[in-house]
Amino acid sequence: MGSKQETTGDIESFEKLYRDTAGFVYNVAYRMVHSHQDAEEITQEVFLKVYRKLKYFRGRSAVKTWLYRITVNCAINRLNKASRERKKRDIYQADLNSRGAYSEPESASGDGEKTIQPLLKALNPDQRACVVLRNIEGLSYLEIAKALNIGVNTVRTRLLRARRKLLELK
Amino acid sequence: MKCKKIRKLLITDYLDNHLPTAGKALIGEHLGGCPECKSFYADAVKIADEPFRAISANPAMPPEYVWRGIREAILADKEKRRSFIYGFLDRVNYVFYAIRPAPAIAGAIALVLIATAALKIGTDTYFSMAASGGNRYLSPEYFETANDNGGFGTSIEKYFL
Repeated sequence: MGSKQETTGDIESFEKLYRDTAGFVYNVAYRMVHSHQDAEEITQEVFLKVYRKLKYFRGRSAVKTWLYRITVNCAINRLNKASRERKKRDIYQADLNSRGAYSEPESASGDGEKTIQPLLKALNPDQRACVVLRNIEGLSYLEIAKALNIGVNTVRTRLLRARRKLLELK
Repeated sequence: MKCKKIRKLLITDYLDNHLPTAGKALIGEHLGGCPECKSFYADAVKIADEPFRAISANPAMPPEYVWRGIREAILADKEKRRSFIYGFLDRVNYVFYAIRPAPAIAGAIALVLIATAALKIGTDTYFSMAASGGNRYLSPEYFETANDNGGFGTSIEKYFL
């Protein structure tokens, strides 16, 4: 009985953390993977990881920084996995297209989304993570460095290369 | 400063407002006299900055069923953790994870000291036994069959000796 109450109280306090932070976890995930379904799955994966690892969290960094790190790592893993699967699917897709049987549906999204999606898609996952955290989440170079566990100069270099790439799209 | 270096700063620290006032002033001065860099910066703002600003002002929450899924998964997890083996493994995992660097280093040093001491005792015992007639470990046949020169009188011994 006591254990059940403890569980309920535990989940209630975790729900508060979720309500406070799920917005930016979901948004970062969505900007990284460009799919609402994948972003929802990443959000779920991130909060389950957080719940399981919460007792190991030593407070050396802010909870938000920790969440950014887990989110970006989960998103990069998913992108890598998707990239491997896409290679297999492309072969199948090319086969179907050659028979005129299939066309990719266009995703419904706002104007802003339509503008930034091709921009973010042009970047590799590491550059994309830096641009999302800097330009959308508004983190400083130091905060990005902490969230991604890299040096400030690496953040600067990734942003430089990402923006050069974006300028080439002009 | 050369335009190449200025442009590098324009699309990083200057665009992100990470430069100190003196640096900003220096670049501002350069932009005033270099139309190419000014146009480059205008493009950078238009392409690599402005499109994201509209988005950042519009954050979205995940749908409610995401939380329901998380909650269900947590409850299932809790149920699993109540089982004896899983709970035991979880506690062992926690003990290993909880080992802080300082006690771990102290433990490693203590282990090395104990191993060194044990090795030293073993070596001392061996040499002290050897010094006090360690040849008792030789086979008794050696003493029975050996001649005065400590040999066995074989043909090989005769040849070499």
